[in-house]
Amino acid sequence: MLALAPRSRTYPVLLPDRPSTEREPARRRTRRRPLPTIMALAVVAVLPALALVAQRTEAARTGYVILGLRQQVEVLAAENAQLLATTSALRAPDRIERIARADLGMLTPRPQQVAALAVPAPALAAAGVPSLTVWDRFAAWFVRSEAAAGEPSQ
Amino acid sequence: MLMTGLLLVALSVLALRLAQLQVIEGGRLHQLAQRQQLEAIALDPHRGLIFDRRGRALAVNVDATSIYAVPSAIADRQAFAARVAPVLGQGVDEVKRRLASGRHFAWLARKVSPQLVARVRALGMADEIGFLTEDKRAYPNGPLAAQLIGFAGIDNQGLSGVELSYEQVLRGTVGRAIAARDGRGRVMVETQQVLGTPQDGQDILLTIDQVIQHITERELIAAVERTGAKGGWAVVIDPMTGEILAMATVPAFNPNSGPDANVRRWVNRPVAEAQEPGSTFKIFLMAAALDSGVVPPTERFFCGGSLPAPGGIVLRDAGGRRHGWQTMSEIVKNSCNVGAAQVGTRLGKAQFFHYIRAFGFGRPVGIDLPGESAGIVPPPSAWLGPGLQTISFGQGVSTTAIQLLTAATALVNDGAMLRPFVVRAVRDHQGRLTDAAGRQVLGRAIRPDTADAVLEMMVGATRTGTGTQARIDGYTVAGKTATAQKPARQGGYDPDRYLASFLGIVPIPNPRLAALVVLDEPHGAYSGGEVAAPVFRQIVSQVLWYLRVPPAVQPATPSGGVPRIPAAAGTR
Repeated sequence: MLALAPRSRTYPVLLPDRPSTEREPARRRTRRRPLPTIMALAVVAVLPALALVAQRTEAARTGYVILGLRQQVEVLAAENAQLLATTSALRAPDRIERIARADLGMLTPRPQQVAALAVPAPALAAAGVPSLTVWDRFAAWFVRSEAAAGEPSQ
Repeated sequence: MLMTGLLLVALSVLALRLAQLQVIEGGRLHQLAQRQQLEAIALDPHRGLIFDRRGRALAVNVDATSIYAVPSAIADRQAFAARVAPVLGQGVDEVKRRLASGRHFAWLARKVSPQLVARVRALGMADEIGFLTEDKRAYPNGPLAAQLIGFAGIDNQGLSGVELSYEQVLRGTVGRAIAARDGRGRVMVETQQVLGTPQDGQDILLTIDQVIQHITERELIAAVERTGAKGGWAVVIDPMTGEILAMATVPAFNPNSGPDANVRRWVNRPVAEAQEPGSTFKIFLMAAALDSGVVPPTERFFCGGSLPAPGGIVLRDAGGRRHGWQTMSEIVKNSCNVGAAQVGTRLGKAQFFHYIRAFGFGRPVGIDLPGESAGIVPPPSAWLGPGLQTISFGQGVSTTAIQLLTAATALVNDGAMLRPFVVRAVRDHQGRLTDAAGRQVLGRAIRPDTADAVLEMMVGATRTGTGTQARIDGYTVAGKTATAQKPARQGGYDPDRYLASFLGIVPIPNPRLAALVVLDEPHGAYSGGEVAAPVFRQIVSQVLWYLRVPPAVQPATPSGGVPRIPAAAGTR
């Protein structure tokens, strides 16, 4: 014969409040003054505004520094341009020729006063270059190889 | 409690007002504030500079002060004008007219001298008069290459020459920004919003060499003074690349005074002015005759000093000279009109016209300069009477100097003509190359062997012909003289007005230079061989030294010995 196992049942029980040590005593809550809280809140609200103003002031100050530097750059660029114009004017061939002729008494050479000197090709060999040793040749070969490696391919 | 309540109420009112200003009316007020505080600022770019082929500055920018008035701040315009006008060097009415041009801003004088600025400042009219610094174009070499470089106007816009043709490259892009100004009128950088970044104009490197240009101008000026000519022009090019090394026109003008100069002097005559070429055209006739195979090089033509031509006209050689039997080489050497007319007759209108067009005459060569003339080449149907014969020696067509030189490049490039150009590179403000020009073949006019044969004829002309005064010791010169009568106002030709010219290429072989020298209405001696050929020699010999082109043969000395090298003390 089969017998049913007895079922366990849970019944809700209302327990009394446990006294908590973490809670503020009601007495202290009633003693809090609102003004400091409001002041603190106001300070918290105003602080970002003050920070913003400080930031803006700093930005304005930096802006003026940038403006000053820009003006400085412009002045230097203008000075550079003026110097370029001056040097170009001083280097003008017409001015140089005028000074050469008038102040230094120079003249344009006549064709007979100009000679082209032919440099003979074997001049270096004629100067008595010592013959190369084996090591010289090896070094020259190595340098040539390096140079050849650096040349762009055709 | 009362205090707290009041404070809360006050804070609430402030919060509500803040919300009204920031949220409800924020957009409208923001726009209103922007209109009151912000101003649009044009960020002007700097105009690009112009350099010669070796990087020497030919056009630069310098600071200049401009003076403006604030008409709205002037109570009595008559009194203001009466006080300011004498200092500015303007009339009272002129100043009043300027004041009427704007309500808050009116230019009084642009880009003036520092002395004038100081005198205006001394008037102590800070509320009514203001000063602005602007870029001003300056040309440190004065009139050097003035027609080629051109000049820029008061607003830095190119008005002529390279300044005009490369305006887009040189000008740059104007930027725009919005920024607030403080109580002292300074820009508040932190408020600045750049709407478009300004880009400076790009620099240009010309093919012109400052020294070669100077030599060319100096010799041309001397020749114009020596011959009493009305003016002259000369062009030196590298015939192997088409690069213009020098381009001079006399009389010139100073581009620093720009628009104040005589307008006629602005004209770049080698490019813009078409004239009858005269006998230099014979070399293109010979090229056509040889290249077409119509006339064999050994054929001879008889010159009896005159030749009856169609239309009942008798063509004559200069001075009625009789050259007898001549080959084509001798026709070029002696610059024989009668012989040239016979060659032209043999060639025929159609063939000759074909080659004239093949050499690029009658249309612009495409040089990168403004105002290029196409010249005049009438169609064969308009070659009436002796037209074919006169065109054979350069009468009845008009060409520019640059066209003649372009056609001449075919003689040293195996028949291929090169496009002449004056700008070899463009670089940005950081010095990076952004564009470069090089050798550009326009087309092939003749065969290589024809080119060589014509060049040989030209060598003969300078060796023993009309161009002997163009010879340069140590170098072989190929050249051709021309003495063209100028058209008379009443028709026909003026017997007293000539255009003397010389076209030469040097050295032969391996040419480095081609040059054309033209003198306009020289007095006294007027033939190309007498007045233009020596100028060619003077210019080219100095340029060859400057370019370190060694002579092919050692120049002869007066005594016939080896040239004496001057002592070091004498070569300073």
